[in-house]
Amino acid sequence: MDSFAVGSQAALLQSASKGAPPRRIADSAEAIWIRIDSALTPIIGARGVNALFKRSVSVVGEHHPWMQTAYAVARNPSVFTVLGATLAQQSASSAAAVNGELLEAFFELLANLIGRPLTERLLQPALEKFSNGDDVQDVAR
Amino acid sequence: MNETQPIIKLLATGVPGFDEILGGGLPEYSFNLVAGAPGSGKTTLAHQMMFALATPQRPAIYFTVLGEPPLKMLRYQQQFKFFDLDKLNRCIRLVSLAEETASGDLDKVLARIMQEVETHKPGLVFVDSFRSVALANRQHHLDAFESLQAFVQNLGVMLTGWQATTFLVGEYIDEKDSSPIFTIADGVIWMHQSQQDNSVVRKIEITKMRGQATRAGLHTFRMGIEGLKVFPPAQFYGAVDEAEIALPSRGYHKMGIPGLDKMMGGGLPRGYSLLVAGPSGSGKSILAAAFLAEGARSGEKGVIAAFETRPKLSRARLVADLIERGAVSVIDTRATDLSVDEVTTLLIEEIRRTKATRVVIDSLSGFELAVAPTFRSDFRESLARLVAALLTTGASVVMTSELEDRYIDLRFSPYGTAFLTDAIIVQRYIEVGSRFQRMLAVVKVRANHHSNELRLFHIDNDGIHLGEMLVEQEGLLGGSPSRRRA
Repeated sequence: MDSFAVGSQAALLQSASKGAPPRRIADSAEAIWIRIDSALTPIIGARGVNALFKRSVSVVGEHHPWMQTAYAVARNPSVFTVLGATLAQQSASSAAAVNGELLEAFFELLANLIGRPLTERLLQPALEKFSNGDDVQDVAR
Repeated sequence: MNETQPIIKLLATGVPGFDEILGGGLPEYSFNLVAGAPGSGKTTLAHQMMFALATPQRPAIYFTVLGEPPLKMLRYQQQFKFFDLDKLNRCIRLVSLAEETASGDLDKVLARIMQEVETHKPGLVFVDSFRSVALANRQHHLDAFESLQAFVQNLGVMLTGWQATTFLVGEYIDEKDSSPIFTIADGVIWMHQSQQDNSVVRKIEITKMRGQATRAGLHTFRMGIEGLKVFPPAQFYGAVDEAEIALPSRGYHKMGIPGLDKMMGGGLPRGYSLLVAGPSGSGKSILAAAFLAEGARSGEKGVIAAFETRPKLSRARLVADLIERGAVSVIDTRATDLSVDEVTTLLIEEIRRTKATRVVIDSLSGFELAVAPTFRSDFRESLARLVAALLTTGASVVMTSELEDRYIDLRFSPYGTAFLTDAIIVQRYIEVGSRFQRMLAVVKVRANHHSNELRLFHIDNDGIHLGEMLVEQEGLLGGSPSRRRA
């Protein structure tokens, strides 16, 4: 998995273990995805990102059927808002772990299509913002 | 030059052979169209130029439009060697216009392009593929044609104003449809795939390039792991600059066959072309191999283009050894659907690389079979250009040519190539004393005294050995000589 994903997942897991409420974990997870989205959308288009994300949900959803159900009934057009709402209903540690799986599935999928080096390069802007100190790190504190 | 004239800087496109047909390079700040059917290589050409041209000082933006999923483009274009990850994000920016295009509002598309251009100040702008812009437009506007024309006009004006060299990549199958674009563009590059029987040949054509003397016509190109390689027409090599043409230096190439140099009046004059004509099995390839081996003995490099169906089996062991030792290099002629221009380009590159002085094409008959059917009709003209182009390098060329053994006429080559070579050696079979014998003669060595003897020869493991003249026979050229009456 990409170092960015590893970092953000570790931060989420850490804050979950420190007793952060599920809603907070869910918000952080949503923030990560919005950053990924804004790094990728200019290049592969919103539809491209959307397709990759939905495929990742489908892969991860095989082990967590509640996720697939959430997307099946979702009315909100933003896939990331739906994710936040769904994760908030889980326990903090489960939400962090599932988001980690989702990130991993997404990176694997993208790396499979365009190669690992290019995947990392395209996500660099998201990575830079992350290391500049943001709410995910705030949660970890 | 008039000092008030703007100086148009020419950019090196990084596509081998392409600058030559462009007339030296691509004019900076030009507004170009890259047109062709799906699969003709447009995106690859655009990417190859972009990776060659983009620098931190001259960054590039590549806009992808609906119809060409950017993920797929990235996936496949990465297979090419020119794809440079380090340049991405640093001096190449990929931008998807899918959402704007889907809206069908060309003003939105234009606004987004200009917003990106104003923010990032690129020196190079690519829009791929433009056809989808046009189609999306048509679905939403009744006056599609006019608004598209206005759109392109605006884009052209703005991007030139921003000093960006621009490429609109598109599937313009119907020229009439896109005529406003063609009028506005400074350059129009067409890419074709021409098919004849089962053979498909890729060709590129520059139908318009303002202010440039381009090479007219269709030029073949090949796509490989390195990207595109264009093969400019052979005469180009001779036409650039008379001063660049190496003049034949004095002296002779030894032929490597005892007695043959004497027959030719000293050997093959340097910078000459020699045609060795004869029926199947008469020993043409062996003569050509001896020519290369003799060169290797005196430290001269050679290049061979061998057109045989089973090169390893039939190629003389002598040549195989020379290749292994590095004294002779081989042109890869195994590719399907070759063009004469391609072989010319490969030969000249190899001659220049190794500083070779001896070139062998074995044989013209095999060469003709190897070229794509579409080139066969003008094989003779192409061959004349090839010989002329090769000789401009200063090297000498030996070509073999299979000859149907007809005894009623004396011909040297089925291609009429005899006139374009400086020297000719002909080999024949004759019947003497109930034996099948071989005979050769030096028919021509331009501006050189040569022997007019008809000499018997035989071939063994050491090569060709010249024998006696058959002074007592006559009618040798008819194949069945008779003893001359006293």
